[in-house]
Amino acid sequence: MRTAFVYTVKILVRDRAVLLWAVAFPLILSSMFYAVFSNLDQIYTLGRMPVLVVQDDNYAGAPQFATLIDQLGVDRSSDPLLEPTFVPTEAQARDTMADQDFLGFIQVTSTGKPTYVMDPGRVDGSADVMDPTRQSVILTLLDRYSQDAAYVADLAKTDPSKLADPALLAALSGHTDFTQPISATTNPVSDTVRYFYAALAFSCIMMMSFGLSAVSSWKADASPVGARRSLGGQSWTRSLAPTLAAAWLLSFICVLIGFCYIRFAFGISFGGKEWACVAVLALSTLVSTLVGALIGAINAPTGVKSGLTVLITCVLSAFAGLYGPPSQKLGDWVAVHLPGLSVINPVRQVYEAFYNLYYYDSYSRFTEKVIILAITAVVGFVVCVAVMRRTRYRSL
Amino acid sequence: MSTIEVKGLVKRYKELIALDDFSLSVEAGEVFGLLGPNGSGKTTAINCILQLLTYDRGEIRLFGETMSPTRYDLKRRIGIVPQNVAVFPQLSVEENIGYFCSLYVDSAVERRGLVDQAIDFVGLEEFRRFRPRKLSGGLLRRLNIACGIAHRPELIFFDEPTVAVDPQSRNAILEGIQRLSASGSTIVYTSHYMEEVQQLCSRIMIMDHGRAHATGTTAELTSLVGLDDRVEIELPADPEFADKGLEIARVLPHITQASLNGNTLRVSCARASRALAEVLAALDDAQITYGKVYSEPPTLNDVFLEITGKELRD
Repeated sequence: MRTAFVYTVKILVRDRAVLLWAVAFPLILSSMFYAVFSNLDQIYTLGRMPVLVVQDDNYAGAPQFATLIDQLGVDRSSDPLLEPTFVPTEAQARDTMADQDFLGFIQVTSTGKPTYVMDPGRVDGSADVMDPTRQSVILTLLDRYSQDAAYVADLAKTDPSKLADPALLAALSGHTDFTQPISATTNPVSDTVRYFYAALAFSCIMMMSFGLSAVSSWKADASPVGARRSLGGQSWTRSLAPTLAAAWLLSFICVLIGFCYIRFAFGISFGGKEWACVAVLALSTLVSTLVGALIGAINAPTGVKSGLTVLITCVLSAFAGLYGPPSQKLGDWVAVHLPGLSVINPVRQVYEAFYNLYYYDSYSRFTEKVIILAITAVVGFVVCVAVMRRTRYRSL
Repeated sequence: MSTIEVKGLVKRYKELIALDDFSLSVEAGEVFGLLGPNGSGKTTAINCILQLLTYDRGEIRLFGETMSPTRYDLKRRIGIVPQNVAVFPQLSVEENIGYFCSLYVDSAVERRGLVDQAIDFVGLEEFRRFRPRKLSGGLLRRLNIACGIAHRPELIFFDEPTVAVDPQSRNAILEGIQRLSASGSTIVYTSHYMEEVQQLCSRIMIMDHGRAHATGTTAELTSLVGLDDRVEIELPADPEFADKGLEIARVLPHITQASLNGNTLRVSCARASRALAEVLAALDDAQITYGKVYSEPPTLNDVFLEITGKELRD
C-alpha cells in the first residue's frame, strides 16, 4: 500500500496543470476577497472626522470652545476624534465644504454658542454609511458643550462658590465617553472574516477534484490504465485507500498553503487557534477527497463528473455565505430553520468550524462540526468502495 | 484441468449479440490463438473472462475454479497486456512496471527483483528512467508487456500486442512470448497477423459474430475447411500453349481446380507433391515447356478467409 501511495503522489505531483491550479486556486480566491473585502471592517469605524472651523472674532471670543477643539483634534494624538481645518470666514467655509471632502463646518455665534452646518452631500445621500453617525456625533458634542457652558454660566450668576467644587468639575469633565464599546466575544466582531472563512471552506471542498481524478483513473471505462488497474489482484479497499490518501495529502497541502497565505499575508484572524484550523483543513480536505472519489466512482463521462463537482461546490458554497450578504442570510436561515441541510453541506460545516473557533471560547461547537465532518468522510469512503466494488461494465 | 474453461457465454449489447453461446477451453502451458475480424468478440470474450464486463449467461472457470469479480486470488495469477498501451505518462518505465506489479505482489523486496527481471525481459534496461512520452511505439509496446508480466502470472492475455510496431520490435515481442511459454505460462493471444498466430500458437480458435467457428491446430483447421494445396506453373507466353496446358491439367485425377492467370497455370490439389509430378509429366508428354514452379500448402490466412468470408469489415 505504501508503494501505491508513493506512486500516486508522484502521478498527481507530476500532473503539473492540476497541481498548479490546486495550489493557485485558494491563493487567487483569497487575493480577490482581500481586494474586495479587506476594508469592510473599517467601513464601520468613525475614524477621524474632517470638519471646517470658522476661526473668526466670535471663535476668538470663545477660548473654552477653542480649547475643546484643540483637545479633540490635536491633543488627543493617540485617537483624535476631529480633524479640524481652520478657515477665517463662513463664506470660505461654505466654499471649501462645497469643493472638498468635509462633513460640515463649525461656527461660533456672536453669543458664543457653537453651531454646526452639515454638508448636504454627506447626510442622507452619502456613499459612506457612517456619515450620518459622524454628523450625529458632532452635533451631540456641540450640544453637550452648549449645555455645559450654559450651566456653568448660570452657576456663575447664581452660586459661584460651587464652581470651586471638585466634584462638580469632575462631573462636567467626566462625560467624555457617552458609550463604552464592549465585546460579547473574545475576538472582535468582524464581517471580513466571514468571507475568508467561506473562501477557505470553498477551496477545501473544491479539492474534491483530486479525489475525482484519483478514482476516475481506476475506472475501466475511463482509460486503458483504468481497465488495467481494475484487473489488479487487490480488493477495492486496498486499492483505493492509498490512492485516496495520496489525493488527500496533496489537497491538504494545497489548502494549507492557502490558509497560511490568508493568515500571514493578509493577517486574517482565526482567533489564535491556528492549530485547530489546520485540523479542520485536514478533515475538510479528507471529506472533499472522499466526496470527489464518490462522484468519480459514478458511471458517467469524466467531463460530466468534473462539471458536477464544480456545480456542487458552487451551490453548497452559497449556503456558506461565499457570495455576499444575501448568501450569508440564506445560509444562516437554512442553518436555523433547516439544520439537517446544513449538516449534510460540508462547505457550511467547514465554514462554521472556522467561525466557531473565532467567536467561541469553548471548543464544543467546533468539536460538533469536526464530528460531522468525520462522519461525512467515513460515509464517503464506505460508499465509494461499495460503488467501485460493485462496478462492472456493460461495455468498455 | 483446463486453465480456462468457458461454457455457453452470452453477452448482449441491447439488440447486438456480442458473444453467442461462446465456449472455450485452454489447457495449461498452451499458447492459444484467438482469431477473428474486428468486432468478432475477441476482446469482449477476454473482458468477460476477466470479469471486467458483465455477461448475460455462461460459466467461466479459471484454474479449475469459478471466476467472479472478487476472486482476487485468481486475478493475482493472471496478467493482461491490453490492446492499447496502458501506462502512466507521469511515471518512468521502472516506476510504471513497479506500480502495476504492486497490484499483485505485496513484498517490496520481491517486487524489486521482479521489476528488474521484467525490464531485462523486454530489453528496456537503458530506458528504465525514461518517461513513456520519450519512448518509440515499439518501446511503449514492450513497456506495456512488461507491466502485464512483471508479477510472473501463470496465465497471460495478449490482446494484439504487436499492433503498429516495427519488425524488430515485433520480432522481439514474439520471441519474448515464446520464452514466456517455454517457462510454463499459459498464453491467450489475439492478433490480426496470421503468420504470428501460426508461428506462436499451438491451437487456434477462429471466431466471428461472437461465436467460435473453428478450433484446432493449423493443420486441423486446414483439413476442417477442406482447402487444397496450390501449385503455380509458368507456361510459355504463347496463348496456344497456355490453353493446352490448362486442358491437360483439368483432366488429371488429383487436380480439383485449374485456371489461367496470364500465362501462369494455377491448380489446386489435395496433395501438392503428388499432383505436381503428375502435372509436370503431362506437360512434358505434350511437349509444353514451363518455367518457374511454385507449390504451397494453404495458409492460416486462407483458412481464416474461408471461415469468416472475404467481405470487408469495419
